[in-house]
Amino acid sequence: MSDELLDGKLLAKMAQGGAASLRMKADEVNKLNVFPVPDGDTGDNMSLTIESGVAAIENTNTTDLASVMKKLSRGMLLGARGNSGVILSQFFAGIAKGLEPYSEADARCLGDALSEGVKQAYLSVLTPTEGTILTVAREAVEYAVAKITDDTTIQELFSDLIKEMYASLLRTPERLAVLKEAGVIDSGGAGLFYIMDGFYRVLNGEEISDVNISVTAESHPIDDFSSFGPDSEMTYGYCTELLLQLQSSKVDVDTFDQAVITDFLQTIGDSIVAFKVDSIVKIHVHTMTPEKVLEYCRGFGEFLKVKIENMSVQHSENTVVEAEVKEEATAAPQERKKYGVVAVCNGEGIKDTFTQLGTDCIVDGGQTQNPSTQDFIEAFKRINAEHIFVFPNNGNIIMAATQAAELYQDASIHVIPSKNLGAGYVALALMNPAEELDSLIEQFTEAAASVETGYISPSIRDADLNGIHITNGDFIGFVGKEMMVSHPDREQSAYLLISKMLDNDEKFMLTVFIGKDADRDAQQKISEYMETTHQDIETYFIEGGQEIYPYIFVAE
Amino acid sequence: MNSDYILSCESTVDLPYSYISGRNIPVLFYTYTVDGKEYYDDMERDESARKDFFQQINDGKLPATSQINEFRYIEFFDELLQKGDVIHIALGTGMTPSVRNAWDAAKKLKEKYPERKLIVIDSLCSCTGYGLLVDSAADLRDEGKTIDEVAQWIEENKGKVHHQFFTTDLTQFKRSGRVSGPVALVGSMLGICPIMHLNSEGRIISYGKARGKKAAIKTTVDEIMKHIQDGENYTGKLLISNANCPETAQACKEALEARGFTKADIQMTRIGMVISAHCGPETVAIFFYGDERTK
Repeated sequence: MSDELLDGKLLAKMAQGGAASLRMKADEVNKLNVFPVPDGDTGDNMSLTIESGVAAIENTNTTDLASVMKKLSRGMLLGARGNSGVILSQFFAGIAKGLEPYSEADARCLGDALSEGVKQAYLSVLTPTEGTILTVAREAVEYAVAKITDDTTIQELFSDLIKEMYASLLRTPERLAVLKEAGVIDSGGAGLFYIMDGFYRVLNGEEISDVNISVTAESHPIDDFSSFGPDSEMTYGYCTELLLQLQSSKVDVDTFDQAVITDFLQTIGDSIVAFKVDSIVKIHVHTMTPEKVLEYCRGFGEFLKVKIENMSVQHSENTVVEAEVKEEATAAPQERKKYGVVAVCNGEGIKDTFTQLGTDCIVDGGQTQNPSTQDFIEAFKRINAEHIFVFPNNGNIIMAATQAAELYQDASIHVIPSKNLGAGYVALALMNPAEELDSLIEQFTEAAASVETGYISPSIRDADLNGIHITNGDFIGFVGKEMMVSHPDREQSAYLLISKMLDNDEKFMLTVFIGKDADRDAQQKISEYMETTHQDIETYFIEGGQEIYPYIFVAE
Repeated sequence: MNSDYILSCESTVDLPYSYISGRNIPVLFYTYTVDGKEYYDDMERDESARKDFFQQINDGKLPATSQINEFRYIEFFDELLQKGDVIHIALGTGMTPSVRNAWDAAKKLKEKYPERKLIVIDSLCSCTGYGLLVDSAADLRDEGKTIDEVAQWIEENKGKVHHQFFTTDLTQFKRSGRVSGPVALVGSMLGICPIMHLNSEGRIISYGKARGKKAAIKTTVDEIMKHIQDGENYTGKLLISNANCPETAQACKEALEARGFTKADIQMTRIGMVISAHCGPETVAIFFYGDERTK
């Protein structure tokens, strides 16, 4: 296929290959974490981002390169998660822009488009850091483009691109000290390499074995079916969702009343929601017998989309879907308020705290689960407010939130750059609907910047960071990107971290978020420690229920 | 004193009983109930009662208070009216509907004492702010002002008594359900001090927020500056009252002094049990005369 030009069909196949290639390597990429902490997520983020693009071109049959590329990139923009995911989506958006005039492309056209992609990727970051995905993309594209002649084939272009991408990836620790210190290569660069490698292998006629578990922007990958085996009992039933296109051959479309459907569904299930928009009825039901739902509903029309999920398998996700659908259905047209709040967090206690502080819509997520641009847009849609504040609460989520803010039209979105839980918590605590917009944003930003958040986590490998020796299994404490303490004992490590954080005389308050894996008497132990060493500090405890980190400390 | 009328008030003036009775002001006592047992509001007559009360709150007991019923008002006024005319200043309606019972009582007593004058005033104030108003009324009475002149002065000035306060523990405020305003008091406001005041209707309005005591004190002082008569040249009484947090109150005093309030007559007082049952132990409130309170 060496003389082939790149068209829409080939691109779609390559993109599928790229997604499959990264999917198989996602875990490996996750582990390329600067901190020896089990919270790496770059592989998952980038994988979900490219998958979202692939899902968007799933049913296209056109060979038109520009239109397939546009769909792919639009899907990726909406599905982008984490900073690497956002940069990846911007890289593809730039390529799409470059390919806009072409229904098919030769190496030169594609080379120019790739350069456009690099340019856009750099522009998406406020202060580009070298030694990251940006460098890997740029160096590979520069190298490959420089070698293009009139005879260069698409295949040769990719061959050069991949070769240099790999070399550049291996150089990242030389470019970025934190990588070298941690003894890893850049995870975002690695993700990009695996995607491009997948593209290249498809060009070479390779079939990349694709265990195609359909992953779309709306759902997380189901990679664990172990909760439902040969001997499992069906207890939760199926979460069944349908989009039913009413057919005039079967019913009077205009006067059709969805109560006919809900009345029936009530006899075979619960959590029922059905609403009709024009000639389409959206249906949601939890039932043991989804086949009856299909059979009955088909009496009125044909399905546009059917989703049936065993709730024993992805129970937690289903409850989210259910809550979402319920909310959608019950959302009465409410008055547009001045301010709305979207916050990203996880851990039941932390979510409760944010809700009580005035968050209208929580986007489930955090360090190991970065929400996508689309997730933010969905959240915005559910709030009827003139201004919506977004608290990403994680440095790796700010870009996806900002990208969503740019894509959303119906409210003015203000992303408060809260890089961690504490920054968001303290800023949101000052939310006062009576205040003016500018003054609120100023207060939020100031508060978010003045807070220090420290995390305690178990380490997952030996390391030497910031002059601190870490033995696998130790409890490490860090603030932002700075490693502060390491100790075999969880609480001792916590005390050490607290005392470092409160070193500064200006601090007057400490809030402790107690995680799932904390000591059972955590509050009492830490109170006693505070009373003996820091009597002048106001200390508060919140049962955060967060994963991974037994303690999160917020010092103000 | 040589006035021919009696000035009376209720125990929620939150000034010591020794002071109020020393000024010849008869007091009608509120009551509170803890664990099914009823107590009279203390007005600092018994230090151990106060200690027990806050211990009970600490132990998670939920004190309850009730309004003064018509019968008790009749009894109280009846005794006073035998001696002369009466002007009674009642706890503000923003806190309790008691004053309506007092008005009803007054109507009924009119038949029994047709020649007597009984004026019952809704102070629209609470706590030591209410005390400040009563104290000023006693000054006028002692200056020889007539009962009607005093009544008129109170009506004209009660809206100028400012109640500026904050708490570091919202538990009792939330229970009491008497707080409104843009800043909702919610479950997890840990470390968040709502900044509150009484509006022109005598209702508690939570309108601002501060992180931690220090910030709350600073904001409170800023708010006082905005409203106090003559700014830092204020020469009147400025009362700093606390429930069970004297250190925070002291820190407020120091912050005010640091802001240049040298001419003011600053006095430290304490919030009584009935009010504390609603505001909790960690409240500091500052009372002074200023501009007209707004809604």
